Amino acid sequence: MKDNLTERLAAHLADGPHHLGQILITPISGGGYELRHRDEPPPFPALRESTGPDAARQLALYTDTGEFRPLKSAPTLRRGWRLLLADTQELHLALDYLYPAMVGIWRSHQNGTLTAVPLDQTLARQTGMYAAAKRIQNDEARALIQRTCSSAKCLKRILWEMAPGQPVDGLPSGKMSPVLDPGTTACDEIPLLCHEACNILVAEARQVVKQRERDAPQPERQTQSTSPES
Amino acid sequence: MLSKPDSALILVGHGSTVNPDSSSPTFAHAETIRRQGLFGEVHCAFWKEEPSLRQVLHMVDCDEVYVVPNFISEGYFTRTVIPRELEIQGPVSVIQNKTVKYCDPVGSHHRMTELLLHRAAEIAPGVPPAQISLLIVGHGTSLNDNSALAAKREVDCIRQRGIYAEVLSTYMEEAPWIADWDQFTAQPHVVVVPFFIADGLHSFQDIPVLLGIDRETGSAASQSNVFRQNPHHLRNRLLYYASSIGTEPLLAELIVDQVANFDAAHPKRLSP
Repeated sequence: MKDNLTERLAAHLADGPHHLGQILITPISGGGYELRHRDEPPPFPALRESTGPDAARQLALYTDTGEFRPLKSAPTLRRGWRLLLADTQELHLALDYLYPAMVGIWRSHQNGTLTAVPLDQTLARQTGMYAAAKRIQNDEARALIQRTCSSAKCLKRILWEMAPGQPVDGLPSGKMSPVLDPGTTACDEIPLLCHEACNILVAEARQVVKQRERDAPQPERQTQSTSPES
Repeated sequence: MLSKPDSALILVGHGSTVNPDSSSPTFAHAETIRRQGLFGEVHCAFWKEEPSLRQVLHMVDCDEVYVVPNFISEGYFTRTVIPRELEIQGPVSVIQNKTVKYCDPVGSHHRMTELLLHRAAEIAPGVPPAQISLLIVGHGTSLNDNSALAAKREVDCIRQRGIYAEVLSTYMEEAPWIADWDQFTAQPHVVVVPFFIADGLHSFQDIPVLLGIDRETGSAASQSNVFRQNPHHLRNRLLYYASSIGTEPLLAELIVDQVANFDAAHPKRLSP
């Protein structure tokens, strides 16, 4: 092992509280960490306490109103809890449940090894039922990204472009930057980074194309794929 | 006992954007293997959830990575989607400076038969197998790749052991239809084991309706307060309905074994 991610995380958090998505991570004097929702109103002793990384998976699973959260970076993390973790190993696993892959992607970004993939390339390699997504038009894709990727739906910062040299537009500039503007939060933050459009966006792109083609069927419409997903 | 302290294991599941139980068995098996300390790291990755197949390698420290699909059969996902998304070129690939070894899916392990027998015996304790029709239910149609063929293969293996009066494969979307279970079974006791990885939409919500246990599609397994009571008195038979074979805890052993099988089939000298 050349680069231990858990050790890097421990070193980064040693200087005090940090934010990751909607979480506040606080090192506990004497060892361990406390996690809670960053916007939790006091009094904090009223929070329901749990321990260990397994509890993090349960906390990440549903919204406050009991809806399933397939996208963990949606701004819908439930409140009313505090999670105690004994060491950095437990913390790392808990963060991987709450914000999957985000600590690892942050490391790759720091190391300069994170390669953003333009949307057109992500869509071009789709097969089966998702092959239709590659037929999305630019204006449809722009509108879709504004609907699906805005901070009201997902807290990740978009690093990819529509196509090489063609940036995503129509979203606030902060949404497209891997770093926060200085002074915007009370403590340091590990960013949530999106280096490639997710399956949710690809699936939505397919829906947009299918809807358009249903509304206005074209005689030159491409033959449907016969692969199992279709 | 396998020991790979310098290797990572990535267990790949399908996942779902609508059903919270789809990824649960994959996470559970990963946690079991993690606690055994056999690998330096254990991670999950999914097609429809996070971490995605495009994200997961960034989580890995180790230079050597074994990828085991937590899928019931070889097919579209194991041959097309997973290799494409991970950029796997063959059994051994170098991706992001890591040596990635692509193992067979857990469902193709020869001990799946043993797991099906274990689950069937567990669900109907004390019932003489000579009075049992055992049904292995798969999805059917081409949607789930070769799962229908895999179910048939398992049925043949179980039949050869001569334990049960009858062993049959049956499907949601092709004949013999699971909805007609009483038409093609002869025994007073009918044991149904879903040949799926998770208690997702199909095994917990669709099949119970087709069997006649539920009148309408219920909520997700983990959100249901009603534990299924076996046996169900239906159509003049006693029906026993098991949860999906993929939820069987012993599956974790088979996942680890797929790594050992990979090493046996691909000696080190063949690695790049």
